[in-house]
Amino acid sequence: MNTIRMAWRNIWRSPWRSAVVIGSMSLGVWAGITMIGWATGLNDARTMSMLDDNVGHGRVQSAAFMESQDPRAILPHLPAIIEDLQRDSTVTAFAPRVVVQVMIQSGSGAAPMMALGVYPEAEQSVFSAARKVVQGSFLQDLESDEVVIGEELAKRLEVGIDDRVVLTFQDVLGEVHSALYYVAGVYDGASNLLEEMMLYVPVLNISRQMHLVDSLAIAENGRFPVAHELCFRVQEPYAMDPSLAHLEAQDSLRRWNVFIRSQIESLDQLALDGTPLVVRGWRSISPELGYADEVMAQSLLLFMTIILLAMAFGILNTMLMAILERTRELGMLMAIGMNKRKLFALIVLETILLSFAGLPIGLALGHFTLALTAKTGISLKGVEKGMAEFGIDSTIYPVTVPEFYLPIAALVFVLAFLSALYPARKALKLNPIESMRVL
Amino acid sequence: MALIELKNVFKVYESQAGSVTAVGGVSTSFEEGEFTAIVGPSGCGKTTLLNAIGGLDQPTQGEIHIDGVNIVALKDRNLIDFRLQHIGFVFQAYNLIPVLTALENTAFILELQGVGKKERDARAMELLEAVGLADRAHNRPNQLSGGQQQRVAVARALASRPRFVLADEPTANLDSKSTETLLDIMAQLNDKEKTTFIFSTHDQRVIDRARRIIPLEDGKIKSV
Ligand SMILES: Nc1ncnc2c1ncn2[C@@H]1O[C@H](COP(=O)(O)OP(=O)(O)O)[C@@H](O)[C@H]1O
Ligand SMILES: [Mg+2]
Repeated sequence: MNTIRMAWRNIWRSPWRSAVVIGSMSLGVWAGITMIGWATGLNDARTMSMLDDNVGHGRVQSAAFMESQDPRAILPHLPAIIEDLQRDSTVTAFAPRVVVQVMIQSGSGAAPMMALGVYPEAEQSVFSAARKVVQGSFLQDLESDEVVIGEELAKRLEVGIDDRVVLTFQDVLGEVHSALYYVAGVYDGASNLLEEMMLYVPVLNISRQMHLVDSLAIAENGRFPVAHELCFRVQEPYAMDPSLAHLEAQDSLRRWNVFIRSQIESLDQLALDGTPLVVRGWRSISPELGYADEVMAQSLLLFMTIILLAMAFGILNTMLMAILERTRELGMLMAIGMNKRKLFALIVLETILLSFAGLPIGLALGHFTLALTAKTGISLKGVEKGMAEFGIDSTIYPVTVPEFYLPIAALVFVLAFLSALYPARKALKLNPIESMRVL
Repeated sequence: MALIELKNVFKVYESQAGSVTAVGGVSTSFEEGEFTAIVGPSGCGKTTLLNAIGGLDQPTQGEIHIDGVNIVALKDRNLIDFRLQHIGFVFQAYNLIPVLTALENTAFILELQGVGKKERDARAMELLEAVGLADRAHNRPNQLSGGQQQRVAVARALASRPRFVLADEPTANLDSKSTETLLDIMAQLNDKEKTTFIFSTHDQRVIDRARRIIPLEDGKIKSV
């Protein structure tokens, strides 16, 4: 304990020199934290906009559909699943979807697409892409021959509102259908890539043509007769593991092995019935978003390490100066019986205290800066277009990053320890009588 | 058995200019309770000899026994511990740790020895009283005069009750009044605590206070 006090007082023997070190440490940490908060905010915004746009926060699917996108693998007992989902208080909205691979064709081109058969109201309650319709309007009912496509696709196919397009797809009986649709609306997705990948059609329209349902099933299954996947939103997408665990425990999801038989009698659904249902969070649905978070966090820590490394050299230099100024005293300490272990501890402790003194100041400044800008946001008007390519909104809302504080403290500790080694070695090599010699 | 026994101790410094024999075959012994001055002009080898006795410097040749232990044979790390446990040091200058108060300085060796706070503070206070500086206990060295600093150094050296105290020209930087006071205190502690003092000096007033004198000339004990 006394060694700490002695080390602390030693730091203040050259108050200005130490103040400079502590000040630069604070500034470095402040700059680092601020950058980390901005970058994280940017990345979170990108992630959130992707989730809002069309990924959703979570999904219920059958394992068979997840594996193979097999159109026959519709969700069994959908009403029971929806009931359980609605009972979960963290779930704020849900949207059942049918997903079908189609080919779209216009007079000037064709493209393979993922057709989402949607319940328009439900879809719009979960996904922003369905709300951001820039021309025409979104789908109005479940049955009509209408399609809503993305802006990029509309450009590529050179089609506009009320133009006709042909969708070609294979139904569950293996027959290929081509059907005529009218463009009802053009949506503005968060990313151009996705605008060229996804289109919307009314759920019952496509499901009937696919032979996924018949009128009987539609009558029996209430508001949402059919879906391949059930997408949902939660309150806190960054803390949704408890919601997922809770959902997985629900009866409707555990009864997978006593499935009611599919309504499509002619199909051999046995294998498909035998697969469990799965609840997936967005990290599982869209792993690249989760990886992006991880890679981002790691590169930000690396960035911080570089800042701190530069600091470490300053600290090393300061400690070296302190040791050289104190050779007589260190010699005296060894002469009267302070052993090398204690001397080493004293110098390491001094270095660590010197390094750590600036840390809380820097963290506090950084936290404060981020907390302030988190409310106002930072507008990037000039680069709006470029950002849209990557699915990013043009205003960044930085976030505070308390999850980084401990790793940074650990980093400072390790670097302080390392930068203490050389000065400490110098001190330990001193010869007591040489360094105390009175001239 | 003598407390300290020197057998034919040599210290030769080798350099490009040639070799200097700082101590050239000293054999003598010191008994418990002595108050002894090693005396001689500057450069006669006093410091070198005291450093050898204190285990701060390795003699080129010879043996030094303290309580029967030949410290010349001790390994470096054991020597540090030996100094800590058995020898008190007072140097000519730079004795004190500037960031510690007089009390903390006095208690420092006890702390290194692992003595508990209460006990070491009590003992340190006792010695500060003995050297007449109880009222300066919470002052730092730069708030004390040179003479007062040397008195704190004496207090620190004695606090751990060492087998003996080595003091290399402890009064060299002091005025005559402070010299007087310091010697009074050392003599008193020699009486009261039975502490063995071995100090070097070339100051006649200090020599007069010694109870035994070892005259040194060119690294050898001068036969009287
Ligand atoms: N490290 C050293 N290297 C070379 N010569 C030294 C060294 N230390 C002391 N000497 C020499 O040894 C002799 C004795 O020195 P010292 O013990 O300091 O004498 P004193 O303390 O009596 O003044 C002197 O001639 C001095 O120059
Ligand atoms: Mg000398």
